[in-house]
Amino acid sequence: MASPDFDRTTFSAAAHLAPKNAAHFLTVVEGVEPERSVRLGAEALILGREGSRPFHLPDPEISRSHCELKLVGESLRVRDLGSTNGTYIDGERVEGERELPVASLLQIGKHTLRHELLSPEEVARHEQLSGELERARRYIEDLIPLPWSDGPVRVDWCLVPTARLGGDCLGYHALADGRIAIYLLDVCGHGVGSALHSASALNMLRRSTLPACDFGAPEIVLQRLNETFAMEDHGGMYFTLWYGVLDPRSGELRYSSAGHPPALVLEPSGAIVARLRCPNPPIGVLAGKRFTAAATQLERGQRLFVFSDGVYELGAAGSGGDGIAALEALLSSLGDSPLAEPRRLYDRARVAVGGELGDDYTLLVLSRERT
Amino acid sequence: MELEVVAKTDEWTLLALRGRLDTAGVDQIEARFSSALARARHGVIDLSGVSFLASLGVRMLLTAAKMLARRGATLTLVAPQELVHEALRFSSIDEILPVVPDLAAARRHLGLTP
Repeated sequence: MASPDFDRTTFSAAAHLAPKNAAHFLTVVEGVEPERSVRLGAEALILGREGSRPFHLPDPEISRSHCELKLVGESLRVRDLGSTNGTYIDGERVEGERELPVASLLQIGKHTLRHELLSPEEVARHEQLSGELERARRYIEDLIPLPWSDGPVRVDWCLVPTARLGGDCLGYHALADGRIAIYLLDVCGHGVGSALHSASALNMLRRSTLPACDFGAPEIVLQRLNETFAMEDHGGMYFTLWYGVLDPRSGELRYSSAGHPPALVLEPSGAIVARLRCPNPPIGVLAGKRFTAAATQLERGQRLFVFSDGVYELGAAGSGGDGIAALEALLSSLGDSPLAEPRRLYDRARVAVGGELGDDYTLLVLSRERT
Repeated sequence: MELEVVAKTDEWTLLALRGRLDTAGVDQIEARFSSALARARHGVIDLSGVSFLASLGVRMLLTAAKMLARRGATLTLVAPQELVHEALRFSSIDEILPVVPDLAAARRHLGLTP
């Protein structure tokens, strides 16, 4: 370890200015989840698309292991790890190893990150905010019911936000007449604002607190939500929604959707027999809109897949397909397997893109058992 | 993600987008996109170079359309690739915004001389 004097003379001018106990951070300026940041230390931090990394960046133009950052004394060193699209500091390509000075910009793929030096007070604020975000994430998770793993109707789900807080959520519960309401909503965007919006809409559904609403009639539910959540009154946010009501005895499924990708009905063999959606705009976009609904039959043994559009954003890394066709192929290949599929499918999708998905991944699977 | 201002006339502002309009892509161009349309007579967006449209991309288009609608202008989407068209259909944006196959059709839709 070099002496303090050596540090001061050899490394960048910023080291002179560094307040005592200041900490180095790397902060996203442009890209997925701006303002997300990570503390840097002597242990190397690898930036890349690989989902298992603590600070991964879901960006198809970023390699799995793109570049490495390491604090040597007060100097932040950057080394490109043979990335496909290169690593840049303030617009200049990094060959070999280079210093990323304080306040300079690191550019990889579609992301720009800044090297920041924070005072202890700023670090404390940062950590407090981080803890609060974590509590908010747990709150939203707690709003979602546990899987139903026995009985005539079973439900399982998987929800993985891209950012710490996503805009997706889902729920299901029995209505007073014994039918089951199923819903999945996707607020456009990530972060605290989207999550708050998502949670307030979810609470109205799970506690049946929308005024003058028949929760057994999907088109009425959508209409009431549309009246309640006009985007002009909610910071420009809107959401897409799939809402269904299943009679577990007869298998009648009434459903509607608002700007949402179709839910799929699968045979036990994995064959897709129906795509369920209604041509309604997202909730909050068009004031005074009248929504439509439809009905179908969910036979015993069939499964219903409801998902957010992040689920079919699969083709980023040349896996050969984006869009719903890629998802359908993936689903069909799973064949007749019990629940616990949502997580398996998520793992498959991640393998398909070779890293992390670019959007929240939310999937609900409901099965109507044979007996 | 690229954004090119192809034309800015008193008839319309024509923007061409190229690349994947996913979360990161939207973040790159959103501010420029909305400021390019801020004073447009009408907005016309050439989507032929867009290979993927995520929900945040849909929001960017919808937000711009709302901004234009407030002063009686429209946003027209031109020549989406099949996958992008699918995303527009699923979000039912094609029920709210005109989606046309080419610029000639966009002119017709806006009632401009060919």
